[in-house]
Amino acid sequence: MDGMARTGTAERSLTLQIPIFYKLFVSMLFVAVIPIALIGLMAAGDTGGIVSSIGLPATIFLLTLVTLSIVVMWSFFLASSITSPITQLSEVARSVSMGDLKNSEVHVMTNDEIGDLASSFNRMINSYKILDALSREEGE
Amino acid sequence: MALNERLTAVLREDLGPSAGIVLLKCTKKSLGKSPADLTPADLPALAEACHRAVGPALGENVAARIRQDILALKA
Repeated sequence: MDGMARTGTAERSLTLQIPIFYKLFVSMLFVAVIPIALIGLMAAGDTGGIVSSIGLPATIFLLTLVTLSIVVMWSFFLASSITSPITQLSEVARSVSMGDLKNSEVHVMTNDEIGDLASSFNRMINSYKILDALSREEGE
Repeated sequence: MALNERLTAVLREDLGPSAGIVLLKCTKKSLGKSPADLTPADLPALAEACHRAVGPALGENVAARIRQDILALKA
């Protein structure tokens, strides 16, 4: 439990905390703004040269491809950043529920709600370990 | 805030709900007194006792940090 056991230290060392709520909120705005920005670019920018050189259907296809690529990459990054710490927590919780306290280390280092959850989880596991050690000590 | 309450708060950072019982055990075992009767002069002995009690279960790093935090209350 040495790695992330000290929840307080991990919290103190993090200065910027971006809640998942705002990450999702900004992401959704970002996705919503991309088509509008592209339409604005087409309307305001000098895109006549591009359209005339590769044609309107190809230009639309290219813009769609670029937009889709950005959205897919961003969505994958966001989904991974949210689900991978939860998956790790879930695995540790399962292992603890089966009585395995040795592999109960949570290494989640995110500084959002999941990081807070991991800190609290570590504190709970520490308490469980201590109570387990004390009960063994009294039994001997 | 009383010293034992400050100690419990410090221990709770790492030990959660077992902070109180660890403080009680360590105080009684190493100093032979109740946590409510602790004075700043008892902190070094208590820090060592907590270090010894917590170390085997949570590892040396956590135990050392707890000892350091308890000693910091003396200042």
